[in-house]
Amino acid sequence: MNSAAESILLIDDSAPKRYLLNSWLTRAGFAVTEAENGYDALEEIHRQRFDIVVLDVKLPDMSGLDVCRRIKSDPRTASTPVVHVSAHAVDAPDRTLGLVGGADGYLVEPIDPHELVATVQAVLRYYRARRKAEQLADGLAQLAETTLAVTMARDLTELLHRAAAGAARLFGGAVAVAARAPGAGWTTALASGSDHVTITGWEPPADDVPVGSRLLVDESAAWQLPAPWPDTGHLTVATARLRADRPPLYLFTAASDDDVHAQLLTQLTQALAATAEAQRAQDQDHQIAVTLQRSLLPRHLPVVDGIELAVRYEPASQEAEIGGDFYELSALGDQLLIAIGDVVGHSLHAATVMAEIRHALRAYAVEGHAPGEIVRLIDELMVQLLPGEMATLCLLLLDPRTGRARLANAGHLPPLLIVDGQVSEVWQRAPLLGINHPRPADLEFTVPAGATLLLYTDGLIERRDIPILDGVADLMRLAGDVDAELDLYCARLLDELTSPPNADDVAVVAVRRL
Amino acid sequence: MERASTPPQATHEVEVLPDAVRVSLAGEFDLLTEQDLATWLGDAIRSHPGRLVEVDMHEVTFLDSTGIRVLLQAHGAATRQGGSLRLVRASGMVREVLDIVDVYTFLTGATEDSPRP
Repeated sequence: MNSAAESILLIDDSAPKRYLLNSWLTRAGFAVTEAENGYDALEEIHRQRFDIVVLDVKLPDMSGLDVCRRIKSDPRTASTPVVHVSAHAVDAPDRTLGLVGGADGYLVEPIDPHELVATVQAVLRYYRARRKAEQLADGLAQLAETTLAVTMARDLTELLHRAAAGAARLFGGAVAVAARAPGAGWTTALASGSDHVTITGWEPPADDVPVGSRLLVDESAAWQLPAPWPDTGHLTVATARLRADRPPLYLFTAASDDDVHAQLLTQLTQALAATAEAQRAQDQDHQIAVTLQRSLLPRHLPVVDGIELAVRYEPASQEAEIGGDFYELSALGDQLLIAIGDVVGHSLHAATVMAEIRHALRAYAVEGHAPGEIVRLIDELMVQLLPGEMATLCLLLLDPRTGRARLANAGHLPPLLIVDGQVSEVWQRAPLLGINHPRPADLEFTVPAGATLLLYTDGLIERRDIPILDGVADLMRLAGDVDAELDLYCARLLDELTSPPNADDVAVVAVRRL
Repeated sequence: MERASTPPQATHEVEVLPDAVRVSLAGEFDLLTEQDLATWLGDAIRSHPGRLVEVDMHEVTFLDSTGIRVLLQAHGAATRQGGSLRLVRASGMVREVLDIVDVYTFLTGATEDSPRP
């Protein structure tokens, strides 16, 4: 901290006394600038920053007490200490006036050189301690703000972006934050100011990072940080690692041997590592849930003569909870079983209820029941064994040779039938599953050769700003033009009707009778 | 910090009438407000056992399947405790979704020999 000489502004109208004080202070290692009146002194102190002001009480143009008051009342100079020197025999009330006016010390002639130097050093020591405490308090406030912003991030990239912006504000200059996502590579956020953050795939070189915190100043060349990292000789590397089986988090700043810097850097790195770990755990949970849900859906599509099939299932985005959408396509004897549904709720629990319903549906269908009876049996099963759960379901049995279809709906959105580009809804109003209400008779209709049936869940059409039936109408406008490839057809409908991130999961089933 | 300034997504008011307890709902009812809705209706049913709980849907701007599930569960709870629950003034988007899952008639009380609103 003491590499540069501390600067003093010395104000006295007497040239011999200025000379004397200047030589004592210079000999003690201070860089001294002189001023001979109050006006020049105030000019000077606004031109450059001084560590301390030594001020004669009696000046030709204004009182030293006024000069002191003006220094202390200007926010730019308020934190500069002032020591009064007085050539006059003064009594206690005069000295009190000086100190009340904001002076930090008061020396009276005859001035002893050692006392002058010791007083200046004592005042400076106090100011240094005070400045450090203020810096630390500021730093801690910013640290808390950054930690909060980082905790609110939705994914690791956003977390690192916010961390780099916060660290750049906190430490100034260039900073870099690097962390690794589970099962993925490193992500590094570089900031050269809080508004200029770039995300790169830079990886730290092989480095045996210990568990806990580590802080070291190292040569920049050893780390090869990418542009816009400035080409300076040294940098500070802070690491935090929570467990041996977890990757460390790195935070790079400009080299500094300031202990406030070190303290804040260590604390921020630890907070970031903890937040990144929480984020990792959350991402992993989501990934497990999505994998589990996919495993509960059909693994293969059946191959049925005279029928072309396509399905698309898109899970809800990372931030949203897992949904309970499901579909079923099975060849049962000479019939094709087609079903789509949605368990109410978003959670892994909803996904497990979905699996129970799907397996029950397959079992009842294998027994040879008609669609309405299958739905009634599932409803009964839910009321008995899954009380409180609710789901929508649309189920139909299609004879691929004749195109005859029997449909039972339970509160689900109507399937669409597309014949020669003409789209119609296949409505059957019937209550959703889980409340055991009476059902209407099955709906019978024919799917002509070349026609397509489209089943979907509300994730495809539901938007908060429009009524749900307007969403169905939007889908109907797009659905008439059936692509030669049914996979493309499903993909196109998803592309045009949904925009990531999806708040809800989406299932689409398309069945064409050749 | 962003959240503090946003108005609540859903609110309710309770009014005790001579022959019923009216719970007037306003706002959006989905997964995020599911628990609130369950608490509000549960409280109304528990504090006035055997009474009719009338749920005014006029100010509801969004209702999804999680909200409908709470309404159906509350309906069941009210009936089990010897009272009843009925939706009134469901219109627009709310009426539409209740129709799609075919519980509009049930929840508005038409199956319980009371006049349609």
